[in-house]
Amino acid sequence: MVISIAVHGAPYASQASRSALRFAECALARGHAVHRIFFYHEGVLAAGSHGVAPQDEEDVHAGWVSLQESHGVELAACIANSLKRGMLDAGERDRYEKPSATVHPRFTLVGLGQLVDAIATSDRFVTFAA
Amino acid sequence: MRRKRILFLLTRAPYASARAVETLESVQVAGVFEQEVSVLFKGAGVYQLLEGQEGSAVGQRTVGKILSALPEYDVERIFVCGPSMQRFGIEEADLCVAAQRLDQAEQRDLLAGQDAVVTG
Amino acid sequence: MAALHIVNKADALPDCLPLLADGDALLLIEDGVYAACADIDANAPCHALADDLEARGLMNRIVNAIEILSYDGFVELVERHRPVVTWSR
Repeated sequence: MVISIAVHGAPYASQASRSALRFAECALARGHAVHRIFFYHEGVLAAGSHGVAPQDEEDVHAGWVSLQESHGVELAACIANSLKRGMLDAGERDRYEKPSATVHPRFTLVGLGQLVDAIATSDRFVTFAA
Repeated sequence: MRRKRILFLLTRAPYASARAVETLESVQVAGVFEQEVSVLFKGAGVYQLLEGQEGSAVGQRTVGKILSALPEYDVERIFVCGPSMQRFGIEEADLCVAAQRLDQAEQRDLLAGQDAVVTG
Repeated sequence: MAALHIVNKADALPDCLPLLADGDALLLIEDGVYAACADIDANAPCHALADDLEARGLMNRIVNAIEILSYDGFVELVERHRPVVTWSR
């Protein structure tokens, strides 16, 4: 079964990112294909590469990066929602002449067409709300 | 792109967060990509339909205007939860766009026919 | 196919309950699990996520006939239901 996932809540303000990560890991372990994780609204903050997690807490951002590296799961953050919240990749940093890129390179900034595409091409679409 | 039945379930009042506007942007895109889009306003989400909004008063786009333009994106199936309207004292004459009022049983039927639901 | 209703805030449960149809299932996660501590008048099987109950100290406070699930059970519910509807506040 092909599953796509939306994450609406920001790390530390919401459990959405951690819940979605556990769900994705478990879906992969059960043999499903996780097609795309779509980070939307405050969920885009999970893409930030500059956070330093407390040593005694789970680093959910690192968990997403690891999921991408080990399973090739697409980590897609809504570009419009990302830009206004200060989440820029190298290309957007150059375009808007900002001092640094803030998005981890394992995440990609995409348009809302990729949300619709995720729904259209998946058997299940699961939202983790804020 | 495969055509799916997608319901956008809008349950939040506008303006306190960007949630309503950001969700309506995905409603527009789903319409452009020729998905079979339905929108249901429920709970505090019915406030998105209230006429006379002026988002510029708080530096934001006006949600009512975005809703009025949805037919331009081929989004025509707009529904509102009748019991929620009653709870918030909103009449059909108070709405800025024509939305079909659904009771609970009709909302159950609407949900049952969907491939996916996007919560706003 | 019947729907899975995921509730992640106990306050969102009243919106969801009237829309449960035959064959649907209810899953409480995150702050939705607090709803497991009071009676739920649902005409559908109710489930709650173990990690979220355990984190909040609620494992022994459940008063409903609720099935406690791991994430594995969560994925299994998703396999058997469509659409998956998330209720939040």
